Amino acid sequence: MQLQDKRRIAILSAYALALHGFEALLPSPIPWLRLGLANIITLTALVLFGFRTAFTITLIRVILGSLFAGTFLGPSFVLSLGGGICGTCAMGAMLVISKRFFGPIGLSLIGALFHNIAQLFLAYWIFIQRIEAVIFIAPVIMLLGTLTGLVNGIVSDILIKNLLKKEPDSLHNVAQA
Amino acid sequence: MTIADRALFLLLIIASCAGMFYTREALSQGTGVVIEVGGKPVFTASLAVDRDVPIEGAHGLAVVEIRDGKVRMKEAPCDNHICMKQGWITRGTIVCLPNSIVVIAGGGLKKDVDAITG
Repeated sequence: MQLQDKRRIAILSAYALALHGFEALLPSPIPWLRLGLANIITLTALVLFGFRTAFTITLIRVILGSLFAGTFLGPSFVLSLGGGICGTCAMGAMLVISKRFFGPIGLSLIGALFHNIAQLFLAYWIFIQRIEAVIFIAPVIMLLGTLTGLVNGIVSDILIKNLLKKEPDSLHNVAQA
Repeated sequence: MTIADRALFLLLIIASCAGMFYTREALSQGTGVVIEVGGKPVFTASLAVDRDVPIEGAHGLAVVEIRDGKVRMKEAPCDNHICMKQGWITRGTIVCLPNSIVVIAGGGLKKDVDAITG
């Protein structure tokens, strides 16, 4: 890993952490609903700099974010980590498999879906262990995740296009879009 | 936004909406009714079967009617008939305080799901 990569990861992680913290301050109609704004950074990093960068940023964001919020190694940390890893891996895999089909919005939807699947699975496996409760809530979470995923995808799409337009030189050697 | 993005978005929206209807349907199938007298369950049945249930309360005989997936207190020997005025319910409770009869609808008798795929 080169110095350039490390700097990039540090800056992007800081952005992701800031969004992660900011969204916790927003009032939410449903307590467990999160917008997943940090996924904008993960997705942008994935498209522009590749899977390793995006995965590292996710790990840093989840661990540092939970340390700041005081939930490190708690239930919400486990859910956050599982969802983050699964969502990022799904987006990375989808980018490799079907780069021509899906744009950032499609990737964001995939990421949101797998993030939620991982969280539901973990919630059932570790905490709830009542299958009817999980089945009942799953479609609701899927619908909300699709809507927030769409919004995040649109924002990422705009961000990626603008970054490529404004700084084509510095991104030229890594850009895949 | 590519065509695949749109297709994926539509697919997810349709799938989750369909899932919501499906789970509501599947879970409401198994709902039943429990009747308690003095805190002890004396009668348990599914809401799917229509019938009149005579219940011996503290002050006499009351009749609980189950019809079309709903339940009501048909007759009660008490004075104010608050329980009867409550009418039909599918979920929640009817309490006949003088008679110490409680009708709980929408709970119990839940069927376990055999398997989930996908």
